Amino acid sequence: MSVHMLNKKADSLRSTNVLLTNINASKGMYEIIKTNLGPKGSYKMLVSGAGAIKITKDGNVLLNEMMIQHPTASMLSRICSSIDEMLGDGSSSNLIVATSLIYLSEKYILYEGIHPRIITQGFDSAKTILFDLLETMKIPVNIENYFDKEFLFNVCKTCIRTKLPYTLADKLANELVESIRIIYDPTKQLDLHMIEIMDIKRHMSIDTKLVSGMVLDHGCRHPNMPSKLQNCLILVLNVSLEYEKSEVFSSFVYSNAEDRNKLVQSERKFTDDKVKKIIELKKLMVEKKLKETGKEYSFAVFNQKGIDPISLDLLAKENIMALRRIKRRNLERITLCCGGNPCNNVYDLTEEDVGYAGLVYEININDEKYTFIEEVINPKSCTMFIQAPNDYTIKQIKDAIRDGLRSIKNTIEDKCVISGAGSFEIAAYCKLKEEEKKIKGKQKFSFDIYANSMLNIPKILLENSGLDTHQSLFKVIDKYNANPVEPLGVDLDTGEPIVAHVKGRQPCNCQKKKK
Amino acid sequence: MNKLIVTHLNKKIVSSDCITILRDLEINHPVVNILKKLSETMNYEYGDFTNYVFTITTEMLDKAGFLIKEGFNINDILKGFMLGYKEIEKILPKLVVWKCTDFYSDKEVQNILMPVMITKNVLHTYDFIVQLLAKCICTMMPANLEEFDVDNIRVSKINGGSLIDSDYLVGMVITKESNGIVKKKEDANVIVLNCGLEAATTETKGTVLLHNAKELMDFTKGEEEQMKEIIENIKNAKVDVIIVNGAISDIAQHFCDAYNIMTLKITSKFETLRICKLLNITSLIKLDTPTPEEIGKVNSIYVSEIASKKVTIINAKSKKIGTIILRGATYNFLDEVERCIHDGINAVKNAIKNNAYVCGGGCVEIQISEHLKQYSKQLNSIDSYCVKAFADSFHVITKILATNCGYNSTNVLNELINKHNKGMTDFCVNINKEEQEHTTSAKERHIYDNLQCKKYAIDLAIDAVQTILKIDQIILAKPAGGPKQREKNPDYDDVF
Repeated sequence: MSVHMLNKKADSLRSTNVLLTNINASKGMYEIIKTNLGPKGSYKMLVSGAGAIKITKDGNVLLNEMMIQHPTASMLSRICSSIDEMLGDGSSSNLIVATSLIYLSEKYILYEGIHPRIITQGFDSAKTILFDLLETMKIPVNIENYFDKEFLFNVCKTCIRTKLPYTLADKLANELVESIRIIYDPTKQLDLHMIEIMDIKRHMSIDTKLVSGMVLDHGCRHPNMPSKLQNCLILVLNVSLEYEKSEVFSSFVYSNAEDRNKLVQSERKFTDDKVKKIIELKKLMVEKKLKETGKEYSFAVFNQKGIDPISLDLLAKENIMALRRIKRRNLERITLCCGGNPCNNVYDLTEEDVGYAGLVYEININDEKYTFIEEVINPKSCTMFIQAPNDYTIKQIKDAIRDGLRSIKNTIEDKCVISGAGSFEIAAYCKLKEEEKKIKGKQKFSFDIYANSMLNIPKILLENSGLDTHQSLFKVIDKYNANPVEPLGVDLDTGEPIVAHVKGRQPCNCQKKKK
Repeated sequence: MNKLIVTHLNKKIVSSDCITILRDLEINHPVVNILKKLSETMNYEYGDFTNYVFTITTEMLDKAGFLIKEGFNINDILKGFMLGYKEIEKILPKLVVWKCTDFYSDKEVQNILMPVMITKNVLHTYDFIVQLLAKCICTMMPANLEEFDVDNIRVSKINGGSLIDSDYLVGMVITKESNGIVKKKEDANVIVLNCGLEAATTETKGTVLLHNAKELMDFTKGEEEQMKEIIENIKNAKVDVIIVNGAISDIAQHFCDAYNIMTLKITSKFETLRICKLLNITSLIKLDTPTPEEIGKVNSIYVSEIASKKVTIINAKSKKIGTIILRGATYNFLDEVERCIHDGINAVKNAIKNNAYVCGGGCVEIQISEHLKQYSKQLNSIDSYCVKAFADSFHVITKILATNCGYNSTNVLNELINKHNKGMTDFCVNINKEEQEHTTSAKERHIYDNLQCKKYAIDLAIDAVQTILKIDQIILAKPAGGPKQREKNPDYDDVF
């Protein structure tokens, strides 16, 4: 009422109404997201205004793309997406816990008349207990001493299996771990940009693979340039090999046609000289290599700036493959892959600036050309090459790869993992139920709420697989209570309790913490 | 059957090719868009089977819908389908009946082309066009089979006459006549220019500075002298024909006529590339004296007239590029025949990549479904239901083939299943209405389907079914609201 006195047009809600709408909003979000949780969850199809289709399961993507208008729901979704920004995964499970906390409190706040303040205080105490529990459940992993491929594979597999079908997920997880192994340097921080992600619309998604080398999304523009080179020396340049206009206004003045011809030639001289320098270097290096190893080497030039047609022609005559306008990041990546340095001018070229690749070739799909650089020695950078028959599959795989890479990075930085398959949640449920007996007063209720919210996650995982929820759930809880040492999770194919970390389901420690 | 489509540009297309129809239909439903994308993928991977993949996917979804109504869980249905799919992967290679080995013989190539091109409904003269294409491909087939490129066979459509007047020739047909006076050259040397046949200009803006009247009069003379020198150099290099991908200035044309050099202007960069490929030369970037590697040889190049259209025909020594000159009554018909030929060439390319063939005409579908039914008996009850439904979905192809011929599809289907169970596993639907029998042996009639294409189509179908069944909600974006744009006051001028 007071707000109305200040502004007649303002919409406002008070006390119980507020609680009701917030709780309904949470229930709504819960219903939407719960079908997407876990490896057996279902997808949602998002259709944009222009008709572009996106098929996804990732909580973060869904929350961003759904235009939520309810203010509370919108706030909830933003909090949960923030997890994705920091960690890369876990937004759906986070949302489930958050919404369950809210709507399970409904019973106590509305019908029993408990003040919300008491419940939130109880949540805080519950949280501290859970943190301690988390610490005890950690499984340490040290990547610096020994790159444990099996371990990282399990972590990555857990993450990606919740996004893509099983066979594809396993294959991808393998490749991702391999790619991280390639770029991993114990002294520096892991830079995920060094893994390039390239996609082509062809074949089936199972053909997605890791290329230990580079894949560039364009080819050389001259029809006579060789499309396949073996034993290739690679020169990466940042030099403009085309005619450049002057900064100030300029014009030529000539009196007859001959003068005009001379002027045309002089325009070309500048660029031609640069090209000649490159050709000189090529001849020098190829001869030298021929003497050293007796093998015929070829030459390729990758330029970040442009190359004009006449320069292309000159290079083509010398059998040099030249690509122009490659991405800035690719400059760094190619030098990491093949060796050498990126050069800024042609007058200081030396032999150390040139890298090496065993095989450089070009393929032509539809109307687009792709250049592959393979068989490199000691690569420090690689490419995930996605092949899928249509756009939305490519987007799905891209999102999954991004999440997978983040999960591995988190493991490496955190240096620990915990078991998955709902095992932490079940342990949390049992622990909180125990602690509930020790708490005096109304905060008992909050423990009850928190425990049930935690239990929702394994419940939903089971529901999505089509198994009998409550039966399987209680089986696990009873087994755990009998022997609370090993954390137990649920196997989604059979419904039996399993020791999750042996089966290899290990999400990151930090995700659980952030909740 | 064909469909007549009127596009939003009021262009009329008559076709039975699935992808052509789908392209011009404005489809709003997102799931149908997914299916449309399937056809598109099939089209650019293999060129054919677009209708097949569409039909199979919808039938699988239909059967899955039936199972959902019965109360099955989606995960179980998908599991059943995947089991069925794995079985298909195992048995398909065993159903191979023929491998095409000789790509240089007319008869063998016709066997590949016939089943593909006959689906395009090109009236009663399909025999003729198949033979024509087979002859063309065999003459053009390079020694190294892998070099066979779909772009190497061009199609030139000329209105008028009828399909029987069509012909093929080894070389290129360009639907333009030559500039200038010279219209015919035999045994000629050719160069290809990638720049214009005109005086060179600077990139920077140029100004002509004249000091006195003499310079003014001499300026044009100088230009002419230059051009004359350039053309003379070209003539001295023994060049008779210049093909230009750019502009031809009047002065240049004048001197070419004077020196008896034929000039031909081509507007498309790709045509120029093809001509270079045909003559095995590199094109010139600058107007220089050509080196020997830039001069190609042709048997003849001449301008002729077909149905009051002037064309230039290039007959080269090498067999790299061939052209089929299509004649027909209407543009629609010509377009349809061109699509038909395109499918045929793609079929040959697929055969080169993978020459295993299975029986066509709905035969292999019946074999697959019978095998899956046997397999389902070994599984437990839930999976068995799902695999049986999956098996049934393959019957749709045979049913549709039979219905389109005018037969009673259930009868034909039962007949075929009986024959297959008795061991005659190569019987398929007989579309020849003059015969009494509704089924016939696919092997005798040489009705084959490429194994790789079929497998890929089934792969795509299963992939799409998996994705679509796993969707539980579709969220459509509505354009977000904002302040309404202020309407312009009609009395105001928009000048400032």
